[in-house]
Amino acid sequence: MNQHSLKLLSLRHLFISTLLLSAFGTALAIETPATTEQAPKIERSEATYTLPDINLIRHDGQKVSLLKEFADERMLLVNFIYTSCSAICPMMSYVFAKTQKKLGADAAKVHFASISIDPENDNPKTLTDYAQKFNGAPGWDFYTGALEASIALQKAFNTFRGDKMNHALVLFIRAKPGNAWVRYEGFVSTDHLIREIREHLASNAPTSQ
Amino acid sequence: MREPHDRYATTLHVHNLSFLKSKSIQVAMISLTLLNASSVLAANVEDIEAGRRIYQEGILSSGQSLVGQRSGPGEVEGKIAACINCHRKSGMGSLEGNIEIPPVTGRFLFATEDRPIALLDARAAKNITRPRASYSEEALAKSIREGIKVDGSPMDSLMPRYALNDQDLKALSAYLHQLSIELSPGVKEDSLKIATIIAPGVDIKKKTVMLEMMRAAFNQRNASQQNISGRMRSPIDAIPHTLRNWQLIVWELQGTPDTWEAQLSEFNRKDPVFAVISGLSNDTWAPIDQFCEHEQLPCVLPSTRLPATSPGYYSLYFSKGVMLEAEVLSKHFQDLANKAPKRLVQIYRKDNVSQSAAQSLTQALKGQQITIEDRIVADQSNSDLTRLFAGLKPTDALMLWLNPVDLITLSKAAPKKLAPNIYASAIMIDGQSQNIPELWHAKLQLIYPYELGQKRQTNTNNLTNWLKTWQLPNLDPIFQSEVFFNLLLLTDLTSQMLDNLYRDYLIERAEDMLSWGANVSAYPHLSLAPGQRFASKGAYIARFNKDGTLSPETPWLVP
Ligand code: HEC
Repeated sequence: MNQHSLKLLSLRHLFISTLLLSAFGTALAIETPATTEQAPKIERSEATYTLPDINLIRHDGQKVSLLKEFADERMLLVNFIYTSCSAICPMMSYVFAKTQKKLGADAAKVHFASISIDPENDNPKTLTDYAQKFNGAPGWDFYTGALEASIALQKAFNTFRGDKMNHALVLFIRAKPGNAWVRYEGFVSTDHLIREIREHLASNAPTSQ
Repeated sequence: MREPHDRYATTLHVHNLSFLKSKSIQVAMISLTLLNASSVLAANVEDIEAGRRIYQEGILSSGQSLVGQRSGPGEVEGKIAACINCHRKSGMGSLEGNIEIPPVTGRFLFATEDRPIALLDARAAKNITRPRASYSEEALAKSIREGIKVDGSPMDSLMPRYALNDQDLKALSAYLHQLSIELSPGVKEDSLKIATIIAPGVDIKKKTVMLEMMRAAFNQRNASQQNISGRMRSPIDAIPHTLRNWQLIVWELQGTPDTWEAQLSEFNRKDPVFAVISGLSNDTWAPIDQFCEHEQLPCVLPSTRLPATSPGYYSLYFSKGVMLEAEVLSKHFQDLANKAPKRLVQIYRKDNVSQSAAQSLTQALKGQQITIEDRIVADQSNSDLTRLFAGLKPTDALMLWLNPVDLITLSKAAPKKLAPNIYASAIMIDGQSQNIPELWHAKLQLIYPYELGQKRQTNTNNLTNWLKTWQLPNLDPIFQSEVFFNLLLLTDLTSQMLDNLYRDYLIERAEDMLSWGANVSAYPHLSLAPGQRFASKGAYIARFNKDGTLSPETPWLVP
């Protein structure tokens, strides 16, 4: 490639976003219709996920194996959060906290797991502080670890969107080891979640006795 | 070109260095009608301050906590109920996941001018801003108290409902009316002023190449813009002043760090800039950080060995510099457990950077059973040099916080068979392993806060090519990659901010978009978020290969 074409190429690459503005032009002038607000939607589906054999760091500082952490008989609720996230994550964490509280004695049968999608920033201390902010009780664990581990897990759950700012509102429930996962997209309220949990607990009960 | 089913947005594929993967960008505009000027109440200063407390801190004028109700996500109270959590400091909102948090600035809520307003977010799946009527005081009250938008539709369940009394509502409204209403200083009709800062005592070659790179990029950018405006007939004209010439202003400091803040304030008073990008200092950056905070001026990603310990809102850094290296070494010792050294001897000079580094390491090692001994380089006489290396045992570790010149002098004076493991700061040798005397290759490990090997080469290829194109030397690859990253970031930031040139918004967009797209930096991963100020958070411990290159001895360690 000669000098001249290189120059053009880099010019195009470096400042294409400026050039873009003129390309947008036509779109900008178009009349826009009034929009109607859609009610918040939630989508429930069931899926099986193959979880990676990775190590994570729990908020108490312990290095743990994900598969072992997820192996016990308790029902499992998983979400993905990061502590610097001020809009959506607090809402998801609030629902976990409230659900755990409202479950009363049944809370002991449920393992809440919040996994950091900003693991290089979220260490055991920041996660513990975060848990305290939401009055999380034992049975709600927060996990961090290497960036690659967190990404591997997000990929396994098909929630990886390339960047933490793109994180989706998504929640996973597994009634017991070996079962399929319930995947919720969108905002799930505490009452809705408790109903779902109690249904699973009821169906779990006969086999576990 | 336009998709027929979509009447108000168009999708384009963008190729950009930092968005090497093509991305869909959609833009939408709201065209606002003139609002009756008399309906905009003359706001009083006390109201604005009371409004600020509600917006930023979640404290009502009574002193009680702000409480927000939400049907699904539940009640929020106090700081976490504050508007700033979602609508951000600038009021420009953001996009989290697929939830759009709209702007609530004076211009966006209550238009007082017949001027189109647009918002652009490369990640928006749909238009982030939709046209709607202006808010009256009543409509604003209804939106905040009842969660009903100006068009009568209910809001997303994320936005809380606040039972504010009339006084608080008036205060909040006064605050919103003036929020991000005027473009920031340094933004003129046809120019955008950007400064960079050069501290005294830096390598003249580095300074020169940095300014050459910046000037080349600024010229390139301004030239490309001329091309556009020359043939511009498109409705982008509807957004005035979006195509501003970038003007580079160089602030060169003199004297000792305690005088820098005053010098900078004077520069900025005479000729205010919109933001400071990049910058170079071998010494502490703390006074500059303070200046940026004072002036509420974004100071984006300088090349410094020693950033402020607790940065202000307006300063963003690549990493914690030598303080990060100290914390990483401490973590490494912790991981080594019973193989960790019994004693650590730190050798350094009595300058700001090395002293802070040594102090950070002492601090970080608290709680580990390691004795610490500091040895300070004095006159480099024979007796001085002998003293530095006296009495070292195999169970010791030696930490060298030294620049390349000192390293060479010391390596010559050191005993041939040096007993302990030696560690050295990569930052203090500009990340260039050839600055380590060969004599020490077998023994020495570098605390290395940059990417290594093929990955690094791939990531910095764009820089290499760009430098070739502009016939600029690659004297200091890591430093120059930092400058290059800044130039690309500024391009992306300003083009996405459109005409919304508010300093706070610049910081917010940087927080949100630093980690997008392809990595063109010398760091493995750069990422910020609201409140985060150090973009790279770890380091390798690296060893020399036979051929003088480096290999990681540990995984990427994040303290
Ligand atoms: C937890 C996040 C959150 C907090 C906190 C929050 N908002 Fe909102 N706000 C939103 C979201 C999301 C929307 C968009 C709602 C929709 O369009 O359905 C919104 C919309 C609005 C709107 C309507 C804007 C428009 O274009 O119609 C106004 C006005 C507003 N918020 C003001 C405030 C004020 C004032 C506060 C603080 C007292 C506040 N918000 C706190 C998330 C939040």
